Amino acid sequence: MKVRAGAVLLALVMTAGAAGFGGTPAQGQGPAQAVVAIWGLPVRILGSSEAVTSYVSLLINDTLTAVDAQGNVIGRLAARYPVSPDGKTYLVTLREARFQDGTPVTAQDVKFTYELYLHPRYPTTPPALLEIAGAQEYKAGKAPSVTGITVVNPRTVRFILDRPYPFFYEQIGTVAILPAHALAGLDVGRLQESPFTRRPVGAGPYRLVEWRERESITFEAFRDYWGGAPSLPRIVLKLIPEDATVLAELRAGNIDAGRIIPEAYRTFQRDPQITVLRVPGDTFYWFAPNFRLPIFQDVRVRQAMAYAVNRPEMLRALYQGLGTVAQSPIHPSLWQYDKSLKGYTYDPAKAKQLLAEAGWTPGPDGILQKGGQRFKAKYGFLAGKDYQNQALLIQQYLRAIGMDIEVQAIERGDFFGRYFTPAGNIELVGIAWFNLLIPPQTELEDNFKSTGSGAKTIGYSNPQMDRLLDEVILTRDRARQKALYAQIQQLIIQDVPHVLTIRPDVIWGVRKRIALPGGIGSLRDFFGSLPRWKAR
Amino acid sequence: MARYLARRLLALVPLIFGITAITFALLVLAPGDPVLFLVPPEQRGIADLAQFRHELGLDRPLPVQYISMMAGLFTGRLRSFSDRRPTTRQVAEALPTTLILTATSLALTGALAAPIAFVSAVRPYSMVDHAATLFALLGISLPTFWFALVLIFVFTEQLGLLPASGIRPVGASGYSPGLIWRFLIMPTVVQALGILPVLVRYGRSSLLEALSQDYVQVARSKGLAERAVLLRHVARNSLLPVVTIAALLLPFLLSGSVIVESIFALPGLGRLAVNAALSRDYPTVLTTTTVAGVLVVVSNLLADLGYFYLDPRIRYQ
Amino acid sequence: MASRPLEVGRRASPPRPAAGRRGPWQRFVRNPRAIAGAAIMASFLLVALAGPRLAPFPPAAPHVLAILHPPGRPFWLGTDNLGRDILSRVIVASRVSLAIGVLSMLVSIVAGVLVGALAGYFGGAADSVLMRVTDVVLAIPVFFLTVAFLALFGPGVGRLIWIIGLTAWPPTARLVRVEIMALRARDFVTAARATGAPNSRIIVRHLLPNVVPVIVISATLRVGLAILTEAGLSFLGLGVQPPQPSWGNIIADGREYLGVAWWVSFFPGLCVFLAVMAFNLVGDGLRDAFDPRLQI
Repeated sequence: MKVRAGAVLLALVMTAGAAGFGGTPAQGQGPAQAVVAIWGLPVRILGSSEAVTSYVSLLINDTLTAVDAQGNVIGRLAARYPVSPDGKTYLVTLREARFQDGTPVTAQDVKFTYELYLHPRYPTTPPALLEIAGAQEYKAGKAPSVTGITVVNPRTVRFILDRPYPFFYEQIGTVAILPAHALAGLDVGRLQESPFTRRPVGAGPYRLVEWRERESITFEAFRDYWGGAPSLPRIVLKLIPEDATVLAELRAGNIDAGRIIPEAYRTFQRDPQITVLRVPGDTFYWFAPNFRLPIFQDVRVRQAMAYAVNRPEMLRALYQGLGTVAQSPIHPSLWQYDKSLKGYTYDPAKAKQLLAEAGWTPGPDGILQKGGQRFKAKYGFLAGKDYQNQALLIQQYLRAIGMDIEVQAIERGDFFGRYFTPAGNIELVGIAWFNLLIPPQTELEDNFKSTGSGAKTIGYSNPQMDRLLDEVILTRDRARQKALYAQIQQLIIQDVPHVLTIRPDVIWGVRKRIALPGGIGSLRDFFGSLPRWKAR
Repeated sequence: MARYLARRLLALVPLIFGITAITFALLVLAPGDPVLFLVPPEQRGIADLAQFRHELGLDRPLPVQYISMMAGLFTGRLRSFSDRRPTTRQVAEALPTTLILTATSLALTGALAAPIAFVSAVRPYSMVDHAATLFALLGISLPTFWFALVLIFVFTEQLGLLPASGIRPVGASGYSPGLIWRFLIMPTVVQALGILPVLVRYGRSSLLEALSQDYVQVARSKGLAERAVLLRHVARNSLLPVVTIAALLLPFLLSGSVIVESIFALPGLGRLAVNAALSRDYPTVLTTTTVAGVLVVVSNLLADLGYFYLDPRIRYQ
Repeated sequence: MASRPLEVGRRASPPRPAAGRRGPWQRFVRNPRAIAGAAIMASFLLVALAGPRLAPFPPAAPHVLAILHPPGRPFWLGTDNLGRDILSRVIVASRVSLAIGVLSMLVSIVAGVLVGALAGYFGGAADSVLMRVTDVVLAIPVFFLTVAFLALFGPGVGRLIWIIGLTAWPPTARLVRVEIMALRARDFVTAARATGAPNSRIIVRHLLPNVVPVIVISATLRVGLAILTEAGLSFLGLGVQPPQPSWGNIIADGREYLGVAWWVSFFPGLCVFLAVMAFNLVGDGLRDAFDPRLQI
């Protein structure tokens, strides 16, 4: 009898759950809003350089200038932005725009914001701002204000740089302008504790109305946005950590957009309710040797590794072929990218030949030997599925040309402190770049110029590379810059500081009830396109 | 009774000290530098790590760190490393979801365990017993996350019946008690089946114990119908106390919440704790562990009091 | 402080009630559930011992032309997202998964018996100190501590075994303590003490043998729990680290493909299910055979 009662109760619970609510899959989701699943939420808006923060910032904030998909400067809050002939004076005239609290955007706000980012205690100063005259002194706490920033009148602000720097307008394209009055009296040392960082006010198309930690951020359309009010009145960015949950929710219509795994690409393409969007990813993968070790100092060994990797197969195996082979560290859509570039193809025979020329010949066990030394290396990678799967394939490819590679996952906490440090005991490292900083100059300098932190970590230094990278910023002629970038890319291929592998696409599923705008060329663009989404 | 209660409450102090001390020791002994975690790699050159360390209080002697962390924890001034909000606020936001899920899971487990234990004790080795026992073991034999994903696949992706995410928890805009529970059905089933066998085992042995008691024989010899004997004497006397041990299952449920909350995108205590550990957010790790520990200890106390209330033969000094 | 009545291992003190005239082992073999469990358990242990020799393919070898190949020739259980043979991986993984289960069980049983026996035998201050420690460990939601430990110290098989074992001993300690306390006052112990036998000898020779059933039962249940814990940790990326396969991390790696390639996570999931079920059935069977009223 008890049994029956229990069974009935269970049945009741199950059917009530199923029947009672079966009819309303997308509760609370009229055409008025779009729910976008996201894999991580920012912990803060100010003072963070996480990719997700920059996506959220695209909605809330606006910038003086921006960079289009090809890498050209376009005006945002800046209506006019000429450069003086000597390349040192940048005069910005603001357009008529308002912050979300109704106050106008003024030159004073620009000066305040830039000085805030340059404040000695501000944690994530955009490197380009340090080019402004007096910025270094201000950042070091030796000056009361930045001399190179002048408010000419409420709508005009002038920047004076110490030296001609051709990419200033490109670089400030990620620097959000904040309302000075809302941040008055801010203790920059306790920035993260200020109410503003949880309830930011910006000049962007969407207003943040609710922020739930580890759960969701809700935005409402800003009616007085200078570019016109966005079409969808509400956007919810909802954190769903599990990929499988995202797929299920998207199929069931409980969310409107979400990232889908490449393996599900074809299944989702067949779903009549869902638009599948392939976006060139912002991430590309590479691995690098430790240049301090003699075995990797011979360029032929590095070239051999580059020939050994079967990049199309990696893409096919790991990303269903959705992506491109990475031949250059520069994103292919940018003007700096050299389209005539010939990179490495899969050619193990060539690799073995190069190794033989370098004196490495296969021993009895198939492992390369040279003067009694076996070719052995430990390949460390940041713990995570993508890195791990790639490591396993790369291990196989390198083994095929006779390199004995051991792979090892390293936890995030240890990774940056550990790889290539003397105690690190890692000879090769698998890593990725996120092309967040546009143009590529900063990233190139960081990774390949001998003074860059990335280059220092792997111990890479090439005077020719340094010279080319210095030369680019001394010229303002686009054609000349393009030629120099072509040389830099060629040198990266020849000298193999990094073995570049693949650039996987990011795949989004979006419910058909949303009409997507065209021209989404990157992951960043995807979030940037949200204000142009429309309900069907 | 009052003295007993006072003593039990007093005994919480060393317990809480023990829990926090163990957690703090873990944090201190762990290799790696939390500061490196918080500063993105491209900022290493620019950011002042020593300054940062100082702001987080990590440059002070360990006992001072411990004491100030504890003081901060109890006054609500301790702030998370990552989002710099008071950890007590983080917990206050996360706790209701976890507690609601715990309550629904306990209720479902209880409702399932009673009949299973009953059948299994009264009709051992019958087909019903075999079936019921296997069912009870089902949930605990499957990896929780896999079971949860199978449920999502069937009930969300294939049938479109239940949502797999999107709860509006207590305190969020759009929260409504009537709306949250459809989001809780699948997580509840996963959590409940995970602890079911434990409760069934307790219930069964308790029933068997009662069945061998004299008063059952007496009731039977009085000529009472077997059904009346079983229900009125055996079930009531043995299953009611078992209900109180449900409270002892809280640690299991809190452990399970770590995974269930990730899968069903529930913003609860378990997820908060895992994220904090993975990102080396020391204050939040300490706070979540302490809060979870206090919950366990308090629920143990409640279990004892419940038992006391239900079984008048027991008297505490 | 009154001991918590609910956590007391048994209410009746020995002599053990016999649920029939047969001995416990005969009762065990007559229990079909227990026998089924034991059979499954034995076959898993055999597979684990034979290990890689049974695997048709090297478990780490990717077959890039057969990515997510459905079950069929020559991959009888299909392949995963790297084209690795699931059958081979599941077979090779059984060793580390069962090793974690068994070794962490040993750690927790040794620790639990030690603490329980000392507390139960000596009583007094030793008892109250050891029991306070037990209370503390019992009050920490174990998984929180395990996750924090592995996240901070980094995962690894050795660390998994220790942390799972060292957080799981309190229930065993309590059970053993209660048993020993009940036995301590009995004649044969008094007699042994009278002959001048040292305490250690009394505990090891006279007391512990009587506690063996309780220990064995709780040990069997522990193994299953440990295997599940490893699986759960793999979900968080803190279990056995790939490329070394464990049941848990194969399921965790395959979980995204549930709707696309169910076999990736299904077969390792089935293994965990059967193994844990088997250990539970054997544990329950033993408990029924020795004393069905035992609350473990």
